[in-house]
Amino acid sequence: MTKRDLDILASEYALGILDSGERAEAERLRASDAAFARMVSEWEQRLAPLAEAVAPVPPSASAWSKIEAALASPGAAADQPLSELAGQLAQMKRAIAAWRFATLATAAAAIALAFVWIGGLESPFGKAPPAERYVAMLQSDQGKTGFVITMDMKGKQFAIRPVAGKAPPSKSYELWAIMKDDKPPMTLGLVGTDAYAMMDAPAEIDQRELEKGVQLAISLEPEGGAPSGKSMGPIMFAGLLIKQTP
Amino acid sequence: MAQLQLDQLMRAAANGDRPAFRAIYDATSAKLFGVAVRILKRRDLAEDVMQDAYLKIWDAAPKYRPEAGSPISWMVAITRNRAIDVLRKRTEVAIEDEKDGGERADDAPDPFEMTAQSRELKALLGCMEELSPDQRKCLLMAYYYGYTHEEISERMTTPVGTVKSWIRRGLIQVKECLGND
Repeated sequence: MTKRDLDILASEYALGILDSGERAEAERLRASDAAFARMVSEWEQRLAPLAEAVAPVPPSASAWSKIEAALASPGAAADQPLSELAGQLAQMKRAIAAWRFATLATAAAAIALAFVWIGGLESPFGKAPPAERYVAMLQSDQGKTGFVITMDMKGKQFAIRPVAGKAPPSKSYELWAIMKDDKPPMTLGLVGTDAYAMMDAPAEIDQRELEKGVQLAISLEPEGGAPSGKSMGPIMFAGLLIKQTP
Repeated sequence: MAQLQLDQLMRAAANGDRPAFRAIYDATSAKLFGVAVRILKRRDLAEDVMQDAYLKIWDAAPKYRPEAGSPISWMVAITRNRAIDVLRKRTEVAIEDEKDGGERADDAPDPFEMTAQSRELKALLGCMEELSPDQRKCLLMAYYYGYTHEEISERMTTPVGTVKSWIRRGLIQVKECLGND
């Protein structure tokens, strides 16, 4: 189809006049072709003012409770916990950014602590060159450091060092990796309170992803971890994996 | 509700703020329900569609970009798409026979008769004024009721081919006209 044909299809789809076969075709294109999706959005926007003339009709009072129930039950809205996790992370990132400016001194101390450990004799990775190491300080939204996590690219391992984190009774801390491009958060496993623990890094976290930015987060889950492999609990600590030396 | 306030609530909802989402619902549900009832003509179907639409809005809120239109335009588009999908699936059930409200000549939405029009609506209607009355009528029927070319052709007692070309040419003309603002 030419660009002009696509624009006509987009206009007819947005107007709502296509029959079910043509509509299915337009919806397929919308999902697979970014240029077509943009045309549809533009048409929706052009026509949207017409909706001003539609008289509002109050829905029944019970309509909201069904929406609320669907939001709360992961079965009904399967993607819900993921989008919530992403939302919590965005919130946390902003909180951390704000905090960093507010209490630089505390931050400097915490970072110094992290680097003493990373650079120190106890490095769990032995003599691996620092250029191949990534480090993340996982902090709460109050700016408390909960975990320092180092990743060794060569051995593909995480070293997890709890600083202040201890899960409440009958709860577990679970570690997640959140990568760019709307990929769902990936569980890396439960973390305990051992002085430090080693954990294999999944192959998905490669150099390319690390350069784009991989966020690590610790969520509070029922004992034994998130059922269904999707985070349900609140995010307690989060931080970005950065190269130990530039 | 002021556009700015809705923008802010949408950003909060994108960050998982449920009370903000509830406030969006309170401010917009009568509009979205009105849109769905108009197309489906049955409250029960329209309520299902509206609920699906809000779940989709909640899920997609992090992807909503203000550059791509106001929150309410975006939400209306999601609701209309869902309503039209349901309408098309139900053709075999003859929705016309079970309707409990909606299409009567005297309450058909007529944006031209509105006293308070937004700047965007004024611009759009200004462009639609340049179309023939038949073309305008086809476009409005399609937008408000989600009718197909065939359904409009029956109602206007005009061949489908003519309706198709009226609508195509009408839409192209509207786009060109709006682009020249």
